[in-house]
Order: sequence, then structure tokens, then C-alpha cells
Amino acid sequence: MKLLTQQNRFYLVGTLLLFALGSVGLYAVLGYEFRHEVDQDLRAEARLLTARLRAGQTVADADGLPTSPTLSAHPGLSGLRDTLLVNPYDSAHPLAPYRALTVRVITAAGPRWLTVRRSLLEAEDAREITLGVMLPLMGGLLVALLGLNRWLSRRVWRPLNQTVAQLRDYDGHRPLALAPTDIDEFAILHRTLEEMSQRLGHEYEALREFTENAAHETRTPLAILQARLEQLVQVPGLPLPARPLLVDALGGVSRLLRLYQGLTLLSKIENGQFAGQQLVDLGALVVARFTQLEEVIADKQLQVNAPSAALWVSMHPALAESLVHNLLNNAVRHGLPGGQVAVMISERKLVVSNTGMVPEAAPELFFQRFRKNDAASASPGLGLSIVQQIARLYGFDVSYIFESAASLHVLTVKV
Amino acid sequence: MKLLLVEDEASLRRTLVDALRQGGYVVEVAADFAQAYEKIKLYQYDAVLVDLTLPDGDGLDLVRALKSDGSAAGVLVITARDGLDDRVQGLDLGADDYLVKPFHLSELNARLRALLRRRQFGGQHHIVFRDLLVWPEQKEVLVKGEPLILTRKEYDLLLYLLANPGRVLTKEAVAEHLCGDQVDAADSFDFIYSHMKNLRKKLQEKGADDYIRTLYGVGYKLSTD
Repeated sequence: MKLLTQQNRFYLVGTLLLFALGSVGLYAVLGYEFRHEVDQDLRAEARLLTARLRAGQTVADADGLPTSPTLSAHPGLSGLRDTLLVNPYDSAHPLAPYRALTVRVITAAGPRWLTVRRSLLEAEDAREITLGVMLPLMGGLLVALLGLNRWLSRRVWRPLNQTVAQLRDYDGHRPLALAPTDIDEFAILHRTLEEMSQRLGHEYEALREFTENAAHETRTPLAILQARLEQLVQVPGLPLPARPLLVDALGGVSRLLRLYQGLTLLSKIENGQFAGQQLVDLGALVVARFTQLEEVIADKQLQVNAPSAALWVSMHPALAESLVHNLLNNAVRHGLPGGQVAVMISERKLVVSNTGMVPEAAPELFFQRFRKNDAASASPGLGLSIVQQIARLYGFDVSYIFESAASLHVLTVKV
Repeated sequence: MKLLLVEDEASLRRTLVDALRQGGYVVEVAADFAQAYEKIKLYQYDAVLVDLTLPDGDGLDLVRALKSDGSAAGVLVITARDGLDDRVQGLDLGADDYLVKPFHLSELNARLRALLRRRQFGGQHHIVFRDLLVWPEQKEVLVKGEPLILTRKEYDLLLYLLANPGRVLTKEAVAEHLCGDQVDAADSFDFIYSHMKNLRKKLQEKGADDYIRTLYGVGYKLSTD
């Protein structure tokens, strides 16, 4: 859940709760206050009438209205009470709530019980009117507060959202440059992140430099070794038994070089060191590679079926070449002598297939580094890893299946 | 032919000098950028072989200097970095060709020959080897005056052999020359056997001497005896 949503949700629940409590409280307080007011009035009226009775005046009105004071000779219950009386004003509500006060008055004629009454309807109406004004006012205020809070939060958290967006795109190579902010907490966060990214950038640079230096330092001695051995082969009068030893040594050196080149290429792809892109025709690369492999193909008596077609892709030319070379090398190398090698190019798809032996493991496992069907093979087993890595870099989809019916290995690259 | 070899790695330098001198070149060496810069400013060379990674400078600056001086020397860039950008930049600056370290010495010979041929004679140069006459510009081969028809790949192989007379060419070097890179596509280099056989057969049919020798288990040699 988003930070803002969470905050707004809590705020909304809290506000609604407060609003409910406030409304109930207001209702109760208003009820109490209005009743208190009626009671005061009744007491005042009773005091006035008692004084009049004592002075021998009459008080009772004979108009029969509920609010007229009544004087009774029968003993009644003294004090305040709520009562329902017949309502002469509104026939729809025949009974209406009244507040009544009965006091005992000693008159010249003996003790009398004086009762005064006030309608509670007015108090009720007043309370409803007050609530009717107050509640919408309160509600409106709360909605306004809620909106204000939302706007404020959004404004306050905006730098954080921007930072998160920037971090999401962060590749770990270069130092981050975050937008300046005048909020202390975010400024600290930005400073910390920038320092961290600088360290990451340094480490990445150091690793890259190390890889490059290590590569250079490895390649030079290997180059010396290869050149020296080749010179040794030239020595006139070289004893016959020494020849195969030298050739084996040379073979070992080339295996190391091939391994080294494969691994450097993989790490370079992973480090994103192939930045430039241009339109490359994979179809033309396929034709060119088949021409280079003519002798190998003839020697293995492979039937090549590759109708020429263009497949334009935007990628680094060196990687395009590597992709095609590895796919075709793989097919030619593992194709059974006398078997078929086919390359089909269709709309955004390159399919390379060859007839071959049943693989010893699930085909997709051969995308792993150093995975090869024949452990004794001189190939380092990096070809398909390189294909996959290049595909991943450009978002291509690579699949490898074995069709057992036709004994066909099929590699498909969707560009 | 006078060459300047700019290479900082002493052992590799010695090997390359040996191989080039065997090939009949006069070779001068420079171990670093400063030496190389001095030499290209003072002397004229037919070709300069430049390693791009030097301890005290960028080999590309040497290529730049040569070109800005209007030097007639052919430039062959040797790069230890497999950065494609270096190669492209080298060629853009006017280098004639490039080799990626490590390379076979026979490949160096072949590239150097082709480069010098283009530079020195504007392509109007022929190669004579015993009873063979080759006009590289026209891709024409004559055996005892009789034209010999070769496929593109056979012609390529013959030129490669002619660039390395008397040198033992390992099967791997031949295979890589034919296939353009490390031959991951083949399990063995036996495939060059039949290819070589075809070339020899065509030569012999025209009555050429059999100067392509097979060194069992090692490779081939264009015999100069």
C-alpha cells in the first residue's frame, strides 16, 4: 500500500470517529442545556405564582391550555418531572412532551398544589436547528481538513517519490545526483544515498579496471607462449617426436585463449560495455559465416538449407556477429556428419536447427556456462551462454528444444 | 623492406622481431611511446606495426602522428584490447589493417604482405614463386605461364602459403585463416586436409612442382628448397 493511501486511510477513519463522537456529544450537551433552561423558567414562574397566591391573588387560568398553571387541593408529588400531555396545537401528534413543576403552597385556604408546565417541543426544535447548522459545518470543515492533509502530504512526500523513481532506474555504475530538497530528513537521505552510490560507482570502476587489467595481463603471456611455440615449430631439424608435443602445447594455449575470450566477452556484455547500436542484417551475417565455414561443412558432408533473407536488427555489430557465429558454430559443430543444418529467417525470428544426437540433459541446461554434451570436447562450452547473454541484453527471446521425432536440435531467437 | 615494431612486451617483441627478420624484413623496434614517436619523426619506414596499449601513451596517437606527417608507411594496428571501438577508431585514423592479440605469426606475415603490396605498388605487383606467378590485383594465377582456375578459398589459401615461404604453418593457423576466427565450429582441423589436397591437385595438374609439404600431425609448409 502506498504511504499516502495508508496515511489518508488512517486520517479518514480518525476523522469519521471524531465526527461521530462530536455529534453525539453535541446532541447530549444541547439536550441538557435546553432542559436546564426550561427548568429555570419553571422555577421562576412557580416562585412568582407562589408569591401571588400567598398574597391572596388567583393564578389559575381557565383557558384549559396545557401550559396554564393549575392549582389543586389534592396532594400531589412535589418536584420536576417529564410528562406527556394532550397537544391541542397539532392533531398529528396528539401527545406532546412537557416538563412540569409542582410546588406546595400554603394559602389562606390551606395547602394547595401548584403545577406549572412548559412544552419541551420548543427545546427539541431548537436543538434540531442548532444541530442542523452545526453538523454540516463540522462535516465541511473535516472534509476540507482531509483535502488539505492530502495535498500537504503529497507535497511533502514528493521528493521521496522522485528519489524512489531515480533509484529504480539506478544501474549501480555512476554516482547518483538527486534533486536538492529543503526538508532535513530527505536531505540526509539524499546525502546518504549519494555517498553510497559514489562508493558503488568506485567499486564498479575498480572491478572493471581490474577485469581489464587482468585480461590484458593474461592475454599477453598467452600471446607470448603462442608465438614462442610457433617459432619453436620453425626450428630446423626439430626431432620428430617433439612435434606432437609442441602441437599439443599449442592446442592447449588456444583452448585457454578461447576460454579467456569467451569469459571476457560475457563479462563485457554483463557490464554493459557494448553501448552503440546500429541496424545490422543478421541474414547477411548468416550467409557470410556459412561461406567462412564452407570447408568444415564440406568435410562433415552437412546439407545446408539456408534460404537467404534479411533480418534487420538494431544492435552492436560485434554482438550481432558473435550471436550469429555462436549459433552457426554450434549447429555445424554438433550436427551429425551427413546430417542437416538449416537456418530459417521469418518475420522477427531466426531459427537455427541441426540433426544431432539425443542430448544428455534438458536442452535449456546448455545455456549454462561450461555446460557441454561431450565433456572431453575442446570447446569451452560458452557459446550458448554468450547467445543467451546477448539476447538478454537486447530483450530477445531464446529457446532451445529437441524434436526427438526428427532428432532435430532447434534454437529460436525472437528479435 | 624496413619496418618499425612498437611493442612494449619484451618477450613478444623478441619473438616478433625474430619472425619478421626470418621473413626478410629489416626490423627496428620501439619499446614505448616516446621511442616510437622519436623514430617515426626521424626515419622513414615501409610499414609500422603499432601495439595500441603502451605504458606511456596511446598507440592511436602514433597513428595520428604518422598520418598528419603524410607518411607513406603502411600502418598495422595490433591491439590487445578486444574493444571493437579501438579497431574501428584505428582504421578511421588511417591504419591499413588490424590484428587482435594473440595472432599467429603466419597471419601477421600474410597481412603484412598484403598491406605492403597495396601501399608500395598500388596493387600492380606480382608474386613469383618458382614456377608460379600471381597477380594479386587481378586475382590471377599462372603456372608456367598457363592460367590456373582456383576457387576464392583456394586462391586465398595459396596467397597465405606464398606469404609464408619456408614457414611451418600449423593446421590451426591455416584453419583460423580460412574461417576468420577461432574455429569453434569444428572438433578438429582435419577439414583443411581435403581443402589443401584440392589445391595441390590443381597445381600438379598444371605441372607445377609439389612444393606444398605436409608435416604429419603439425601442418603444412611451402618448401623453398
